[in-house]
Amino acid sequence: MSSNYKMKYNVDIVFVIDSTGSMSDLIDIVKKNAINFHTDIQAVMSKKGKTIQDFRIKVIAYRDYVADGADAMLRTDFFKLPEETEAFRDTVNSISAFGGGDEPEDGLEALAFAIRSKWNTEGLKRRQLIVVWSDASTHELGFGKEMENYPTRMAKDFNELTKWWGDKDNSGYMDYNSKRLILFTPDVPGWSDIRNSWDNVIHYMSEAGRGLEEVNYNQIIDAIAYSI
Amino acid sequence: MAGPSIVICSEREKLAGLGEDSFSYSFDCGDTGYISVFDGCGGMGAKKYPKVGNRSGARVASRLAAYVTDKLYEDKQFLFDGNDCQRLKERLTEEFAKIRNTIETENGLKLGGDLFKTMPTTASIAAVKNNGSSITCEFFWAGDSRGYFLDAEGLCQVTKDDIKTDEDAFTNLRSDGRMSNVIHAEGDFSLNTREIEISQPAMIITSTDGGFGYYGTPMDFEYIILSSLMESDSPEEWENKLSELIIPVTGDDFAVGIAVYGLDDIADCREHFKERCQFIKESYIDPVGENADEEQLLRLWQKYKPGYYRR
Repeated sequence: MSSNYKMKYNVDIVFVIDSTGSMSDLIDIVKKNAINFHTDIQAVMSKKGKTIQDFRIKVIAYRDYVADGADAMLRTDFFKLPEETEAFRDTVNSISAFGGGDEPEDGLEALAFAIRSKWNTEGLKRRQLIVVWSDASTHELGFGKEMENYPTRMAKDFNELTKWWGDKDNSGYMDYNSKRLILFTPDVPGWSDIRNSWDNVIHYMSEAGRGLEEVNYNQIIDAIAYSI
Repeated sequence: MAGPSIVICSEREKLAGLGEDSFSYSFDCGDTGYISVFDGCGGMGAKKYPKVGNRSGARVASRLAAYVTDKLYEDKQFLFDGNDCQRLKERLTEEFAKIRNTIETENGLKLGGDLFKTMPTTASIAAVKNNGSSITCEFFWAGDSRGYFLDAEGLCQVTKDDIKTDEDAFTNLRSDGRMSNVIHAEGDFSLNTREIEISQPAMIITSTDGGFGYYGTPMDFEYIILSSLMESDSPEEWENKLSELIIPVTGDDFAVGIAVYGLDDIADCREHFKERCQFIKESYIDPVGENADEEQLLRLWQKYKPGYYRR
């Protein structure tokens, strides 16, 4: 008797994971739950009565261009879940926590890569989520630019990265209404600047240097599901 | 002169005990009354508070806003003197701050960013004064909950969504625009207001986005209100049938409040809106199939839109 029309969500998520030495506990949480991640998100979404049509996830594991050279940045393409769950799990399992050098890491470069992902632009309702986990502050963009493997097409400073993220007048590389940035990081330079000046951000402020030991899996699932 | 002849409120929690929508209404003070709905913002207000049974800030907020609105009415402070909005905002600010101070603890992760608010909720409140042949209606709102009236000419949205991008009701169904303003405990929010005079007979409607926001077009929302009315022999039945039409479609909790003025009873109401219901069905609902073409929907919306925004 009522409308025949039903809306569905296309969801893209990019995990941006600080993979330096102190992050092993958090990385273990992600590894342990990678295989169930799609099902767990779907379960929360189903309870909310929301239907997800296409669900994709991508991983960026980062360290420090100066201290870690070729191991500074691992980037995958999007995995379509549940079809590519095994490949997603294998990729996550290949991440281990080491390196990092000094305390700040190259989190802003990792975030820049995440922003420029090939987002799904199909579908009526979309969500483009970036979830960042780190227990450290960030170097300024370009800190490692003298290194051989530093990316050539990188935002030159925080202002340019802010433009890449965009605002309601200039959408940047992501859709303004669809994008969300979820930070599980300390309240330290880099992340706090983002929280204070960017739209569409939620910041779960952890204690610096403690590997996000206060964060548990259910919190992560809830934070993501509530952002969709 | 008195209150409305029919008042209904259809609402449902998606998850029993965890719902974040709320409502309140009252028509006990002579010629004036109000209907209101509130949608606690689950994303922004996901933080849970141990002191209130680990309920989310969103759930606490929608219930508190409903209570505050009802209390203001009970205190006979809807005076239609141009200051009702200010009085309501002050009361909301005061009570939200009080509850925040009571339930906030230092445990757990601290939250920040524009996607986080302490106890956030939308609101759509319609305070109504019956003048005989017409009604004076003060709409107060924050966020994306809406206030409407519906007469023989059709549904008219009176409120303007607080969203960051300037989109009409059809486009916003697709883009899911980010809210730019909600009621919350920090107090730096706006409560919008608009007063209009509406000829009777008419329905006054308030709805959270769970009621109207999961259909393909705004026309669907008018149609479910009218088609559920056409199948009902009592207000209770109308309330239930409206819920039955929303539940399979919505992806959210919902609350829809309706007050009918200028019609004697449900049969009179049915008769008055029969022709409009048939018109909406034939013009906007029947032509749309399951795999609706966006261009076709947009064409239909363009035809419907001038009436929808006629006031």
